[in-house]
Amino acid sequence: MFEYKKFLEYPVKIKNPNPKLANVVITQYGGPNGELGASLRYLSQRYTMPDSMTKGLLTDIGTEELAHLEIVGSLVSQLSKGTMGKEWLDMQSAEYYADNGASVFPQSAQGNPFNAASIAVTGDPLTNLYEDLAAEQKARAVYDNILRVSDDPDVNDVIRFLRQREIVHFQRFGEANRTNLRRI
Amino acid sequence: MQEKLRQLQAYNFAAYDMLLYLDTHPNDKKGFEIFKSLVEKTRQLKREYENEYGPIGQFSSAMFDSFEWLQSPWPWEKEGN
Repeated sequence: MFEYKKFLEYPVKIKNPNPKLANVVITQYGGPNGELGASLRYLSQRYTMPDSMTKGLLTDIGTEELAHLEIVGSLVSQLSKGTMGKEWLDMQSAEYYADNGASVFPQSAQGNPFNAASIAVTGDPLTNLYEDLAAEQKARAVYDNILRVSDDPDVNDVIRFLRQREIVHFQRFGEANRTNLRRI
Repeated sequence: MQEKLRQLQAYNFAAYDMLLYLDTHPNDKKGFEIFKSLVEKTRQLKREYENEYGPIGQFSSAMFDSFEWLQSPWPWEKEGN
């Protein structure tokens, strides 16, 4: 089961609301390379993994991804908090506001709602692990893209933390993959 | 409140990062010792924080005279950070 801790894994304290940036960051909440897909990918792959190392690693990284989902949700929430409809129009984000108001909805930056087709669960241990390695790199690349379009230091500090975690997870999946390869 | 929370977040993070390391290095004795001390420090900071500012674990709410789970700030709010 999951137990909740009432604090974020990494602090989010945004001074300046910015609906347009919220509309970009949202992609790591519910987009194709986002944290929702990441947690579902790992937590769903666990069931057919043959060895306790990958069972444990997928459980623990999948759980951390849920903490990252909460961090991205907090970013989007604080970037939109207290904003009125007109500000979303001025920021050219009125389309999001029309459907969701100033709330947090799992979708990509392009407005596509979360789609589980962006994750793969195959039942094959090596295929799963290579999927996970690729997924960590794709998420890292999206965080790099966000860093290139955002000039808000409060946001970027959090994005840099999340980006680093993708690199650490990539490393751990690589180690698990090598252990699996030795077994074949 | 913020300083105590930052300390807790830092140790909680370090302990979790070591957990992932141990998943792929389960026989690293030194790593396990580091993990144990990080977890102990995290537990201690959590207790101190909760005594002062209210529960941050769901079941920690049971340590208080009244049900304070809803009183402490929510993590996604700016004020909770």
